[in-house]
Amino acid sequence: MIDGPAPTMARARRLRQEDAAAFQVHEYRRLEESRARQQALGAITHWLPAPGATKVPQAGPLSGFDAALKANIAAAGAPTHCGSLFLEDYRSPFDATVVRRLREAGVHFSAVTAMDEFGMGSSSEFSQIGRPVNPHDPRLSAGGSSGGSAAAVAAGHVYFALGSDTGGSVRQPAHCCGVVGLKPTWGRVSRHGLVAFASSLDTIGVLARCVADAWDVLRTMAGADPLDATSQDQPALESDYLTEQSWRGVVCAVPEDLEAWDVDHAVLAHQKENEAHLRSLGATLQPVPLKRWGDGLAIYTVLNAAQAASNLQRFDGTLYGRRGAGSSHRESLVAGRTAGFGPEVQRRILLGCHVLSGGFRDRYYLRARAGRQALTENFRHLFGGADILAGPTAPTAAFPLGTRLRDPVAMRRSDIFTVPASLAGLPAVSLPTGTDPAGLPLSLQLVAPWWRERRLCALAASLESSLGKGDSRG
Amino acid sequence: MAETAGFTVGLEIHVRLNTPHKIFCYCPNRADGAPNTHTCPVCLGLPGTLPVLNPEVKEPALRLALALGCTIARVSEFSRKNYFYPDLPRNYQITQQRWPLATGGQLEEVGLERIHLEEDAGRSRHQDGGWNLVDLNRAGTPLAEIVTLPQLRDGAGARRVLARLRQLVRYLGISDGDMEKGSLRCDANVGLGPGHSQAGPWVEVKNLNSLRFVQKAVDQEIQRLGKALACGQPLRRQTRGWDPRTGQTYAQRLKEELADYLYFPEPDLPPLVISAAAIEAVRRNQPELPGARQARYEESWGLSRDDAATLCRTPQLADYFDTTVQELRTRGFREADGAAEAARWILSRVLAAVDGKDESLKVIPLQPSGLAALLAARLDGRRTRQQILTIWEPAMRGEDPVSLVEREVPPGPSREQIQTLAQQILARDAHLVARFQAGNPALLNHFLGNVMQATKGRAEPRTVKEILLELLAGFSP
Repeated sequence: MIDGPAPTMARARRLRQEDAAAFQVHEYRRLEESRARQQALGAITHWLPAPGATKVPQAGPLSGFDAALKANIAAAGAPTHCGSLFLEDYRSPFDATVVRRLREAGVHFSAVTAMDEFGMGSSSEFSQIGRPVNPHDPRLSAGGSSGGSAAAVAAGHVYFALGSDTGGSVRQPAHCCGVVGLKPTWGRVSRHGLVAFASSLDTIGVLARCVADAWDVLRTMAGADPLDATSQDQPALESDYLTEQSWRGVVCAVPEDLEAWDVDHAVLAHQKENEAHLRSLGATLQPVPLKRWGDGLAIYTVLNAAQAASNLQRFDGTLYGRRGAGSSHRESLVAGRTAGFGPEVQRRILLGCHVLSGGFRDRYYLRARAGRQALTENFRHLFGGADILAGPTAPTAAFPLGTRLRDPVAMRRSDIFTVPASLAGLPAVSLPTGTDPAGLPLSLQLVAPWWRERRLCALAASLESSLGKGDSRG
Repeated sequence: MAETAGFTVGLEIHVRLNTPHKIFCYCPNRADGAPNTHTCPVCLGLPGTLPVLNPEVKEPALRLALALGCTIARVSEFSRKNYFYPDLPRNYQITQQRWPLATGGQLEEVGLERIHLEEDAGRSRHQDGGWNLVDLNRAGTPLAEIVTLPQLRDGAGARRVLARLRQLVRYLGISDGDMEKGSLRCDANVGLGPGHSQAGPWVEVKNLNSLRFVQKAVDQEIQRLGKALACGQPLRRQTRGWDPRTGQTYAQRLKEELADYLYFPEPDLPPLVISAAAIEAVRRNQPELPGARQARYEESWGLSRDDAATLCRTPQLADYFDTTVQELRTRGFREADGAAEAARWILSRVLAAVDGKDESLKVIPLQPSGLAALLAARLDGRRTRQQILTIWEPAMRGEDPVSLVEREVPPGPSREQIQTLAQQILARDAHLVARFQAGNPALLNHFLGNVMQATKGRAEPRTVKEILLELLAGFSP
């Protein structure tokens, strides 16, 4: 009676109500089956122990659901390895605020997922611990840096997974794996317990099988936290289930100059399909030029490298992590960092120190900061006239493993459509809306004004159900 | 020395604020205790932790800035200063760089550039065999850094400024100002010309932890640089340390080798916003500062400048003095009289007993009300200075001053008894009275001495004198 793909949490709740025993047996078998594949998929690096009898989830809103944790989010006793050999043996002594809040709602975190080292990458190939592949085709990348989390959700290992999104690291792998990827407004979700990469861009996001699930997770973990001075409550998310919102009369900005952007034909064609579909739902389309988005990648590269270089300074091997050999503190810290950090991390540290150093700070870092402000203003202007922005999540579908590994610029281009919302701190969702001729998932990215996650998800959910997906599917 | 005339000195002074907790977490703000016991994931800089500004630091910082006449920034910003050091757990220090909490202001003869907030590092101790032991109890304790303009001329000036600041932070109650414990630390910059001729100082001497060391180090550097200039040697920008054992500065590193700190705004902390109301609230509750207090003692109570300055050296001493005067006032004595008497006894006897440890004034057995009881007996003529001295030691040991005054000292003669004695003596020496009345005022002392002798020294000389003058005026042999 419950055959087919792994259910969404919304559907599982109904099935559980209908016949709890039958659902439990089936879920057990489905999970066994899914996990039999997990070795080949490489999404999970560590399984976490089941909660003890005393810690059996209470009747929380998310009770009975397994979830996975990106390896850069702390949970007491769990490996928070960040995909890095440097932290291979590190166990966090405390829970991230999101972990604590979700556990209180009944979630069991059953697994830790693979990721690009410290979140630096777009294919998860810069992972030094576990190498996830795309569940749709093992020759393809699952995207990154939350590739393990996206693949774990797509493959049915867990109901949802937490990821982190600094420049697209939740949305882009969601797109590659055909799942929903939700990135909140910067400040909506506490970063306490998220290992910092580029602090002014980092957000914790959700990978889920439908918008309603992503929303449920977001509203559970959102809100101000005394342990993160940049977290905010206002305006609060109302804590009820999502109701879909009609697209009728919604002013939807769409990119008018997408052809100029070296985008795959299939992506371009799919965007046209999506636009037609939105129009048929009653949306008013408003073509806008996206010329500023081109600067986005450069601005992002500078800011992100600078903050990363500083954030990663703490990894000196003194209190934890890999300590190298050497006759002085400096020698052993250099040896430990050289052996512990992979090539992309070292590249960004060097770049970050360069753009912050004496003669270059004004030329790069401060200019990038100014550019970020201009881009944010652009969005403010855009949302003065439009309710939402709809465009592709990435310029291509999932790409073959190995093809961009030696070409950092090509790798970064994967994030060209996701980086702008990160720079502006806007909430965005990547929604699977179709497939390319080869059958690979393609998505639509919706970007909403600051703090409008509720509307973003309500519109995304109604688009999802108009496509015959989401909560009502199966 | 002509060649040293152009040298200017600026100070960078770190004050550890005595808030209950650290600046970015809620660990106790205590540098002591067993190593690494006052730590948590935040001040250990564990992955995933974030600094959150502890609001406790705002008030003491504002107190200091207001007391120094600074302009307080309504919005200031934290930055990261990046450098690798074993006692800096994140390998960056959170400090205020571009937008400090306060600018301007004045401390004695020197103008201030700025005051900013920052976190302290831990402490490392070098061990034999190349090992380092690191104690992170101090990591994350709150510091206010005061940067002066390079307007000082010599070590004495530097010492004066630092001493004044130490006195000020104690009055404000924001730090114990203890240099030995590192609550107050000083770096001295020595350079040439006003503003260090744009190029910055030639020498920075780090970590001077006593007033004496600051003075010596500054004078030494001025001499060293002056000699080098006179001999035509090129000066090299450098950081120097101070070795308290040899009493000498020594070269640490040349400026060219100095790290670039890669400053950038701290993204984990929102800007620090100070409202006008917050500034006003602090201003209203600001305690009386040492300068104002000293002026009050001099101008209203007529104390000498030296006495007033000594009494104001610490808030504990000034409070002890002030309370004694108030106690005497409630017993009906004029403030100026009470102040003169209290100052005399406190500056000699009480200070000798506390031996420089003014904080012990709060706990010594003879508290201001007891002292006032002793001094009142002296002021109203019931007891002589000599009589008070005989009961001073037991009073200092904690015996009740009131009963000491009443019981253990035989009371002096009454006015009537003195009058009778004086009349007898004047009658006996009538020939001398005639000479006194003929214009020999020095004879008053002769009569005074005789009466005092007759009372066995127990009469109050002032009273005796009064009575004698009265009698002499109306005496006819």
